[in-house]
Amino acid sequence: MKANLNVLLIEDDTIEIMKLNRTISTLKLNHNIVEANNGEDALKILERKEALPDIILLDLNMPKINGIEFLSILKKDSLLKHIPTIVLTTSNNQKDLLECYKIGIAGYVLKPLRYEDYVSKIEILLSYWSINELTTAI
Amino acid sequence: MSQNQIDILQRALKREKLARKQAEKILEEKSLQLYNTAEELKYANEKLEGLLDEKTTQLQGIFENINDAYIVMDLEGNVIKMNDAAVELFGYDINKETVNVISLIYKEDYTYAMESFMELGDKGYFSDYTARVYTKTKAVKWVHINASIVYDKQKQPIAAQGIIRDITESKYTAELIEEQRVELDIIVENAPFGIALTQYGKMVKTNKAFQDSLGFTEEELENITVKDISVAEDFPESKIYIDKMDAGEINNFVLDKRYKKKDGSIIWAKTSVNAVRDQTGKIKYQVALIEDITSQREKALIINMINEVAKSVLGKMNIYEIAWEIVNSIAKFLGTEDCVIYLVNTRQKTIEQIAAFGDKVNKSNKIVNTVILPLGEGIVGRVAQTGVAEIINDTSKDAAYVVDGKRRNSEITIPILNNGEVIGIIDAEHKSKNYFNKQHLKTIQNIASLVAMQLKSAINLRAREKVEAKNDELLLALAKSNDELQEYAHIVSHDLKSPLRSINALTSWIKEDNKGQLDEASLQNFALIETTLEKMEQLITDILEYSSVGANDFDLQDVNLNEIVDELKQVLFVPEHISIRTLKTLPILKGDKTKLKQVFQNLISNAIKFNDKAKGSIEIDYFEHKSYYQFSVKDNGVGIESKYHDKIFKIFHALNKSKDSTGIGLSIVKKVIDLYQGEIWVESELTKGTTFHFTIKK
Repeated sequence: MKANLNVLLIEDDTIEIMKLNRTISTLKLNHNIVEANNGEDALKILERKEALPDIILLDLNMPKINGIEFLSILKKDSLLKHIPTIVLTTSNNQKDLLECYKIGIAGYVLKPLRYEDYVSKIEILLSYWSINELTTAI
Repeated sequence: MSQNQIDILQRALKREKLARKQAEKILEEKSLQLYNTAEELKYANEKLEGLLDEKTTQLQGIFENINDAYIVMDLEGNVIKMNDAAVELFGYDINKETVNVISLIYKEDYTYAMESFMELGDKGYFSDYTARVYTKTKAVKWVHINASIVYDKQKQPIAAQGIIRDITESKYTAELIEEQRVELDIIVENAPFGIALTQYGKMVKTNKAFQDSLGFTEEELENITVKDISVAEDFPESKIYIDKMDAGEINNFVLDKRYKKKDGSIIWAKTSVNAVRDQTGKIKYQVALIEDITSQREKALIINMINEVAKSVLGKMNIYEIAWEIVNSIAKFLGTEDCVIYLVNTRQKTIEQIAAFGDKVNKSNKIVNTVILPLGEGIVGRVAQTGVAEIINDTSKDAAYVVDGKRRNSEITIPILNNGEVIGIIDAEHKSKNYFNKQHLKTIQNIASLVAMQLKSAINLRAREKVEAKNDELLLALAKSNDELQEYAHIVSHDLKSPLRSINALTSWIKEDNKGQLDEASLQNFALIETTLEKMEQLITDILEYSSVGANDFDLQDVNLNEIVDELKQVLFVPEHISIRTLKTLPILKGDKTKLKQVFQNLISNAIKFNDKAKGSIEIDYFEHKSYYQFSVKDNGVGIESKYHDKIFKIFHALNKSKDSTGIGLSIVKKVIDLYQGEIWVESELTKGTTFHFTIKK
């Protein structure tokens, strides 16, 4: 039985947020999506220790605190560093990729151009994490 | 007469007879004694005479047996006796003929001979008579004669005897020696180097060269000592040698020392001293040979100093350092107690002392009362302005002379010129007038140009270092801006791609939300939007890729090109009618895999894209050259018109506008090849096919 995930989506682009939400509803999934428009907002959300997400989907190119900076802060926090974080980005910059893995990520997914490709990637991603045992799962 | 009387008389007679008899006996006894004594005396006398004769004979034997000639003559000069040596000497034999010594006298020596004879007569002897004699064969011989008179027992002269030594040979030798001595004297007198015979520090004899080089007459030299003409500074070294010579350790030594001339000036001379010892080894004389090496030494000194200066200024960066290095050398060379180096300050139009020797410097090596003169003021200021070196023989006659510390009577001022511009001044003063000469001037000028040269190269070096530092900075900035550019390219590509994705999502949502309500034309337009978006995305990807080439320093690793081609065959979409072959096993290169892959990827994908043949073929080949590889990618596709052969490598120059072509691919290839210091060119014929050749440096 697949679990319903609490997903924290950190994304500044409205349409991207719409894309994830639409994908979840199209696929008729019951995951709970919490949105944060940037790293700062996300950290605020993560302050509520009693409601930590199961996984984090993180965009890299964001204003204020960018994805990599956010990741660094996250991995320094003893409580939060366990949360699997999957980077969801357009950037195939080798440097970013390496840096992310170095800091510690659970995945690095490139956003495809075509929406259909996006849907299938998200479906696979979410179903993968649904079957994983997660520390914060209730 | 009585009996008694007769008896008495008879008795008396008897007694008388007895007494007489007794007396007679005594007398007889005494006579005998006397006779005996006389006999004894006679014997002794005879013995004595015999002894005397014996002695004479013995003496005669000695004379006869000695090597020297011996003759005895009567008072008239007739030879009465001569030994074998005499016979041999004179050629006469008195056993066969008579000889009178007068006839033997050499006519020129006659007077002398007669005087000697007189002396013989007066004093009874003469000695050391040296004269010539004739022999029987009328040969002339030099003889040495000692003679004496022979007396009889009554002390009357009866004869004369003489020992004659033949000294012809030694006389000749002596003459020769004398001759040679004269010759030697001439040689000594005219020798090009000075010779002095000294005894206990006194000059017993000197030759002309010696006198000339010191400016003294022979008489003057005889009245002064070696010490008087030497310089105190040289005493310690001389003493070492003299002591050794006195101790008998050495018999000669050579040293360079100074001599004071009569006029007070100093010369340097190579001095060779030889000891002349007596039989006991005590030094009788010293013979000194001196050779004036003043000018030689000066030349050597100049070369040494220039060398020293060159060495000390080598690698020095600024004129202050250089100035301090050379100021001492110059003062030493010039023998002055004052030497200063000035630097020209072109902005303030002044000259300033920057290094000094002598009174100007205190104990902590700093200049006391640094003088700053306006250009044109003082002799130094004048030289700074004219750039022409000067020797002032008498500073009191030059109004421009500025007293610095102490008035000195002569001055030498030399500019340090750099490209005709005076950058500094070397200035020295001496208490004596007319002290500096052309030689000094020339030497200091050499040093000035050396300093200028060094300074110039120092300036050049500094300029170059500045440029290099600037280059490093620029490189760093370039690397940084490259990195930034790279970052920027990624951000731009992200920012450009995001709207594309959004448009794509939105159009597909419109399609989804209006499923069945859109007509054919609308659907077609939506499809066109999607392909346009894809092309746009590809364009962005390619631009990013192009800008990435050369951005990162590529780490060199072994890249197996065969693997690359195999990988590309997997990744690229290769239609079935097209075959890709490598004609040889490709080499393993040192390089960056991603970049090399970009080259092959673009060339192969182009060959695929632009192939219109029913059976397409792509052939990859290479040749190995000494310093580079030459690769070729050959296809049988559409071909490229020759007028485009150069243009195709320019960015955004797609010959065929198509969905797949952005016109960036070959630009990327060219950029990578450039990075590998290679070249790329194309051979192509329209409709027949294209071959791309490129080289990669090993």
